[in-house]
Amino acid sequence: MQITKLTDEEIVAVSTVINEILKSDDLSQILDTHSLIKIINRRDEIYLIKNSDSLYLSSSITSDRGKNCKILTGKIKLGFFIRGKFKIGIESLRFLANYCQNPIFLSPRQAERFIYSKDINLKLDDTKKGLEKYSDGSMVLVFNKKGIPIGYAKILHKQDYIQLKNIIDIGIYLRSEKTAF
Amino acid sequence: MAEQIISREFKNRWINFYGKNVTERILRELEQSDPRIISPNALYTTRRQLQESLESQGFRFAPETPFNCLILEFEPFNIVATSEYLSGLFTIQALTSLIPPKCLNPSSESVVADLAASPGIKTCLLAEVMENTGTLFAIEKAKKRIPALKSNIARMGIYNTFILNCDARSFPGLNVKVDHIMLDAPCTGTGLKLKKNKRLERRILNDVTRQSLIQREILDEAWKQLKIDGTIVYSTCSLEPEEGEVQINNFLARHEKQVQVLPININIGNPGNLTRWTKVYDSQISNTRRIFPDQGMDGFFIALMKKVRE
Repeated sequence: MQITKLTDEEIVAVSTVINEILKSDDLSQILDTHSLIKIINRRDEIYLIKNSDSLYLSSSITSDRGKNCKILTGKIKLGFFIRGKFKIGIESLRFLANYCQNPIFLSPRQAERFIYSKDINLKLDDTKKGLEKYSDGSMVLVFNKKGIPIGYAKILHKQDYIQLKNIIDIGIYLRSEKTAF
Repeated sequence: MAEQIISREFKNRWINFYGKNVTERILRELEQSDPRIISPNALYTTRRQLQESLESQGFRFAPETPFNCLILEFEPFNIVATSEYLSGLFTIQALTSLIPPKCLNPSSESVVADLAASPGIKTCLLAEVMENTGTLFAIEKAKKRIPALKSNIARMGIYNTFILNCDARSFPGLNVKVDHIMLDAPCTGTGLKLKKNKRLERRILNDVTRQSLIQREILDEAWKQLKIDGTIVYSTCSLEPEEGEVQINNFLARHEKQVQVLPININIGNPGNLTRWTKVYDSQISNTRRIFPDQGMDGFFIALMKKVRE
């Protein structure tokens, strides 16, 4: 296990995905007080930590006595890199939901299907959600009707409907607690 | 029947320590199982909101709300399949889990360590008390228990926690001084009610000796990392004095003028008591708290200690 800074290319990859989800450049504001770090475990995991927390990481890296007690995960996990591509992680959901400018709300029935890992097909005339303004392949944060974030989806424009393709949802806590984390 | 749930040697030592009547009540209660306790996640909801939301789906709760929690009386389907559970609006836990974080009561910007963290229920409660700010180190030795810890912390929307996979005794290696420590120590678990504690009948006295030694080592290492005026809450779900009152009494003897045992402000349980065990003990032991299984929760011991300048 190793803790490192991100390369410039990795920072761009993370920022692109996060800003696309938030539909803003709020990540740059967050980075005024936080830093991005990479923890190399099974995968290259990307975390946000407060700048004031960096001393804990440096002490864990430099201390010989600390070799048996190293930090396994940081505070705000944003996601991970797989084959050079940044993938959003479910752990970031609540944190990013605070910054989301254009949330997508689902009806109770749609939300239930979504947390069972299903894609949601929406009629084109379901303009209340304002989905037509998003480009094909755009990532969105999905909420249930009570305003609780339930996952991430990708918008796919089909011929006579718009599909919310399930990327990851909170059902993972039930489906794969032992393997996903 | 009751005698079969634990060996006779344990029963005899409980009679010596607690008396015959209390022991009979303990043995009767250990065979019972408690209802499921629902603790709302104060970071994202209130008890009333959560109750309304779950009741609209057919769940029913008892009228009483101990520690602002809900007691589940009826579930039309498994409550962990609700979107409220999956989105971290509540945890399911034993009532005893609520006590240590509330006693420690860390301020929002403090640095806190939870030394035996998995599965992370108490860690989440600590983070709630800290309002998801400050810094919390969740330390867990067993690698196979880390996924549950990570999953609970992520599900509950906790963002102030570093997770470390190491022996709590190695924590000083990180060179981090902390304001508060929560040590829900590994123990024999003889206070846990039978449904949760399949190993009760296999417990032997050597387990008590082994666990109390580990607890002693962790306590001493943890103490080194605590700042002056910092507090440590020590708890076990064991009925054995060596893992409770005796452990703290010995700790007070080792660290004599550095420790102040603070009173526990809860209306459950009895003051810690060593009069039946030894004639020589520190009077501060009466500030600790001993909860019996017939007092509405699992058997439990808790002590809150402050580090003072010598």
